[in-house]
Amino acid sequence: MTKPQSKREFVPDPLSQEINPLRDKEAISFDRSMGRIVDGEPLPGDELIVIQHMRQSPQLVEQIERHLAMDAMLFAEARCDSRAFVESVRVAIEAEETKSVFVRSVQEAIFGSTFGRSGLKCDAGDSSGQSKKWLGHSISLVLACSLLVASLVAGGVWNAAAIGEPVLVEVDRVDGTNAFSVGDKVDLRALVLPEGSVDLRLPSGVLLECQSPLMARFEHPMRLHLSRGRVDVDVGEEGVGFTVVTPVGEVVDLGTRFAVNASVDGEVRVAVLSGQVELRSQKVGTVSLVDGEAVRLSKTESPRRLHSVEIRNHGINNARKDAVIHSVSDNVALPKTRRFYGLVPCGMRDGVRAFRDRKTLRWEADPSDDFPEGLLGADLIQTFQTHRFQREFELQFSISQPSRVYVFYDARYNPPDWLTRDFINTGIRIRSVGWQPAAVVAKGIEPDAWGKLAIPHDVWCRDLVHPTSVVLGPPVLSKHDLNTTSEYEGVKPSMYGIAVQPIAPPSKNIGKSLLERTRVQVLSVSTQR
Amino acid sequence: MAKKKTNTKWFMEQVENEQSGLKGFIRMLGVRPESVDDIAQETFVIAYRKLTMFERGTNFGAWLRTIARNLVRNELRRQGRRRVLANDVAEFLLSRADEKSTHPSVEVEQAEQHEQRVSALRECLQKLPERSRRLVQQRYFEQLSLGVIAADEETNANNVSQILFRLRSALSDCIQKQLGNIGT
Repeated sequence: MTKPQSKREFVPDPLSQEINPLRDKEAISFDRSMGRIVDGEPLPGDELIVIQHMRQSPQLVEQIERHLAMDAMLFAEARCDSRAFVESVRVAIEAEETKSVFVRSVQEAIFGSTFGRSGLKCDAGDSSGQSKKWLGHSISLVLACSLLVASLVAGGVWNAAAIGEPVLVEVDRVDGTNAFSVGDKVDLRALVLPEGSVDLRLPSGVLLECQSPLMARFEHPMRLHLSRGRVDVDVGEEGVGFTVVTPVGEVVDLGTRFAVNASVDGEVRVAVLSGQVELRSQKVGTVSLVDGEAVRLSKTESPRRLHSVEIRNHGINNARKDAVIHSVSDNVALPKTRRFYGLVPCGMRDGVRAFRDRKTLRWEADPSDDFPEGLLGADLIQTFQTHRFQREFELQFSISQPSRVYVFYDARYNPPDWLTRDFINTGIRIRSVGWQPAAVVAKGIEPDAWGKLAIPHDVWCRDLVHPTSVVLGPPVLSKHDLNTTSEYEGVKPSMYGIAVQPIAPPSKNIGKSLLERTRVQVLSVSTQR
Repeated sequence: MAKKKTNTKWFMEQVENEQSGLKGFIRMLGVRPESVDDIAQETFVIAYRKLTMFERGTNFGAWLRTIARNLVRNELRRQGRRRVLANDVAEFLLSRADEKSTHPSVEVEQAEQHEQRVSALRECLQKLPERSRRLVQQRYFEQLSLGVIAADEETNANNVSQILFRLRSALSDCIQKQLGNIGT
């Protein structure tokens, strides 16, 4: 039901407009085809219809240009990440500077085939010392690889004869393995990583973050066959089109960053961390995934939603090796919904990305205070705004150890019953910062002193002294609030955020900070219940 | 070295000034929304490489748009990448853009009006009825596909496309009124 139109109303409700039955059928057909092309989802025949009409009428050309221009303005308004874009251009320009490299080849040590060394300049380092280091690395890598290769060959997974061309890679980061050192330059055809993780940079600028146990081989510098393990791919400007080939199909990068995980049972998981990819397989044909979407693929089943993905952040000093949060999921059953929850171990901090479907939004401290110490280093669940309208929404996750669960709820609204029943309001607030002026959720918010639009979130908490499952409800308004004549009528709260911090057994905790004192109170309340 | 630093500083200032208008231009050539930033960034990097060929005092934005047009043209020729929409439509729009480039005064006028149009758009978005605002939110802010929006609104993807079509038309008319232009 639409509101009555007032004289001040500049924008009539398009949803209430009926299509004029007297309007020319040809014009209607053109509008529909053009609309689908602008929306990026044309049907067969749309392009021909639009081209034919545009050739006959300049006015129709202006019409499609007008729609594309409006579409561009709306996308620009939604993203509004001009700072990040300018910074990315700055980085790209600085990368124009070329650097001298030191090259080695490990290939002979592993597969016994001969590859020439690249004729690049050596740096000013001690080449003899580095040669010894290379030999040491080769030996440990050979020993490690032989065990893994043997096991995989026995399982019929690896075909050592099907090897492509060597690719020169630079080692950017190493963790938990002696196979490489940072700064190594190696010619690789195949990569076998039985332990630890490494980041490898390819000549095109593509960054591969490889997590063991992993087996992969290069067909050529823009094509990697992944037999087992997880690879996070971050393509630069020249790397668009980089393809990861898996046992169930290909993942083609169309811009930026994604993760692929191939497991021994033949299932492949693909998550888009930024940008867009295309999945191509015989089972599903071609499927596009965008930022915030993930799927599970197998040879025998249709694609299924992948509910959660661990987000790697190597900038975090991860003192805790065991994850606290497991198996995040929700009860949303819309067709074609592929949103995933990001799990960031030890990821909660000032400035961390808040939502998986809004790359500009960050969690930040309230302006009047520091970022709450009790939240720092908590495991973060990056939720998303998409389903906050669903009144029957439920989000469920499990925890593996005694923990404090935090929910960051939109402070502008009365909290829902499920929150007040099971959680305590700590009295502390943080903010989600970076909302766009046209965002429905941010309506009525005035820019802060720095010109940013921020929504305050109350920090609620609940202590769970045993591993258990947690079920959270929708962020929609409680029954009490639905009866109010709020100035935010028609506008719903932001989706809430979640973090989980492991806690020591109750007897060992003597609270000193406000959060600690609150924790003690929570336990007392729980006992009394 | 000092000269290079000065050039870089000047160049980054141009990036800040031109990036919004350039992205809009690239989209109007039929590039997919999710690839607009890619091509805009490529455009700036190429412009930086060729900076010695640019004469200061001339229209930097127009020069960028020339580079962008060539990039999009290359995209249409490549196999494998799909950063543009329907190829034939994009070719047509590209030809139009080539013709317009011979009339730089039109481009300068459009660039000057850009900030005013953005302000007008924000006002018009605030005036949208709730359902329309929700659709804009879902499509542009949450970047949901037509199918997902359709399921949420309990309709089909074709209807959603048509509603978005009417919505864009309505917003465009609203912007024109805000800017004081009668008729489009």
